[in-house]
Amino acid sequence: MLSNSEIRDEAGKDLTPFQAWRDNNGFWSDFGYNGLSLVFDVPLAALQTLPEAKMLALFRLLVYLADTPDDPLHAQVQALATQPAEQRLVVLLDLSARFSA
Amino acid sequence: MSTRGIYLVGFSGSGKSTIAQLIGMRLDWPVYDLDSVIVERSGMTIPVIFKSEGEAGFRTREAEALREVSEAAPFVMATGGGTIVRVENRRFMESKGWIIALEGRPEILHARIEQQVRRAEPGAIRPLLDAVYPLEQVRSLKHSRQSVYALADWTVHTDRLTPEQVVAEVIRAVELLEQTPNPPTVLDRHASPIRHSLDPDLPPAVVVAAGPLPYQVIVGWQNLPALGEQVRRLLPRARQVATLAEAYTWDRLGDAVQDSLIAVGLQVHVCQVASGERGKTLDEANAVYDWLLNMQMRRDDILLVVGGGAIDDLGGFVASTYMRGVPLVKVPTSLECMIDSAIGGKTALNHPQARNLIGTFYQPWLVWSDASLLREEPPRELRAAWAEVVKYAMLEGSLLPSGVSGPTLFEQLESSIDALLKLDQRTLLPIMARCVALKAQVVSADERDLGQHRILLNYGHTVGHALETATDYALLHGEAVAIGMTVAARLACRLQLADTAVERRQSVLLSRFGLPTQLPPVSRSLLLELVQRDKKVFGDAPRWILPTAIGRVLVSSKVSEADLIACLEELSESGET
Repeated sequence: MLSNSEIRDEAGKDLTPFQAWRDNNGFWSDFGYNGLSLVFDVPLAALQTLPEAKMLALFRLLVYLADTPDDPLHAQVQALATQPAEQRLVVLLDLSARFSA
Repeated sequence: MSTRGIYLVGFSGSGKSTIAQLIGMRLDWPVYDLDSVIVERSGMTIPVIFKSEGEAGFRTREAEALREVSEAAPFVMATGGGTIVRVENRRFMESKGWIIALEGRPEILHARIEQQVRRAEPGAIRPLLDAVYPLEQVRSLKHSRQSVYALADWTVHTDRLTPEQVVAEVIRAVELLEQTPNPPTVLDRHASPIRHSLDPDLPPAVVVAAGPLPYQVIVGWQNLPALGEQVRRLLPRARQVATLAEAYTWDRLGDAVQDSLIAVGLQVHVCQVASGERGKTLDEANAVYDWLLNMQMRRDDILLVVGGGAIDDLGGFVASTYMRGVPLVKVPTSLECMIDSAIGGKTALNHPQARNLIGTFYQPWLVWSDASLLREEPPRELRAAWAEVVKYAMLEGSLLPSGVSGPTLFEQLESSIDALLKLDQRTLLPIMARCVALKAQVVSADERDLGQHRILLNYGHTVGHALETATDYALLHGEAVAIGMTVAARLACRLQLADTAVERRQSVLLSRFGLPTQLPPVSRSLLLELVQRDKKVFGDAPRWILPTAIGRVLVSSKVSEADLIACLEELSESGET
């Protein structure tokens, strides 16, 4: 079995972290869209001010990342790790725009 | 045993599913895991439901499943952590069973989740642990739910209990609840009440989950005679009580407080300290240390502070520093102190060069408010304190992520202002408890003023503090905050963040409370300089709390000096310089 840190090391290489987030029934049931603050490490307060459609688009971005080996998009998301949390949210909203209903 | 159901609520990792299974086995009752029921009925995982129907779609399915499996009582059900957030679910659950919250400190919950991860297959990793600062995130998300979980019929703190002990405690709780089928509803259930598993006889209280132990804030009416009993229950080893009070306050309340404490075997000593800001000095603190030494105060004795905000600051500081901290109990006597400054653990002394420069964070063991005392509060001070109530109303939606059910605090204030101004008990207590619950929510989420939460309480304070200084404290704090809120609302309108109706409704409400909404004649350049110097300056710019709607605010550093000057000009009384 992989350790937690080994799984983290895999983060840049495969879809596992996003799948792990996506697949947890209890997590989404508990937190709903607020859980996105944890997935993408963005400020909860800022997230909560978004209209529902934008949060749904962010959720769909997560599902897409979990399902699809879209390397350029994965690289863009990985690059956000060094960005301030507020800036990260701005870019993520931009990236998720195409998943709007 | 009951013919009602048992609903277990609580945060991820609190053990709802495990405990539900064990209770079901013990009582031979059917067991339901609500999330599993939803997945089974829909044939979809919860994330798939989210993706196709959004959270709203999932919550609808959740509500339907809840009703479906609640049909045949008795039963025990592990609900999803978000089920209780919806007010209609909560009301339904209240009608069908007992709601039992399983509580744990974030550190313990985090450790349990970590344990689950170690046991799990990699593909089943619990997502919480992939966050950059998982414990902080757990803490933050947990506290955002605290006010909702506090509405449970009973709370079991699971930290030090085995699963079998938790089961026994839940069953004991249900048996006790069955004996009191009509629980008292003195306060608005939305606002606060909780019956704590360790203290089932307590009056409804708000719990503040901050400091080493959660503590209770009681808002009552003529409840001083019951103070001693509660103090004794919390601090059974205490031998004596060192009481700090201003002379005027002690003359009024001394007998009631003293009788209550003596009745439970406590020796009471009283130190009368200088009133107001004059008493908030290191010299005064030193004098109190001397007095405590002379009376041979021990670490398990109690420091009791009776009074308003200034003595609360001094007493809190002394309690936090004498012998590295002694138990602190507060009996606030002003409205501002009851709903705001007595809660949250900030202590402060003045330095010759700056107010409130010296201080600590130190949470009390108990805050005991007797709202009937407000009938004797000086009218101007009482009036000024309503500004803090209006402030909570303007923040409510932002402080309660789960939303507000029923009338908002702002709407309640608008509709009941006449009764409030008369200090009508039945109107006043729920409003005060609601404010206390909001403060508790913020402090629980952000005890040390480090995150995104506590700063929201500074709504109206950026200009408010500057005005207090600019007028050499001729304006009371609440009066200055009322004007500061008006400036913030005007700025929000100017920046097109809020509709003009927001400012108008707020100003009307402030005026009905007799509070000022226009700037007094003060030097505008001094005011601007003081705003820039405000202690909340972040980088080069002050952080403004601006309303976007009634009950909603945001934090912004993007207010230009030109915009501020324009608003100040618009809101100035004639004679400004």
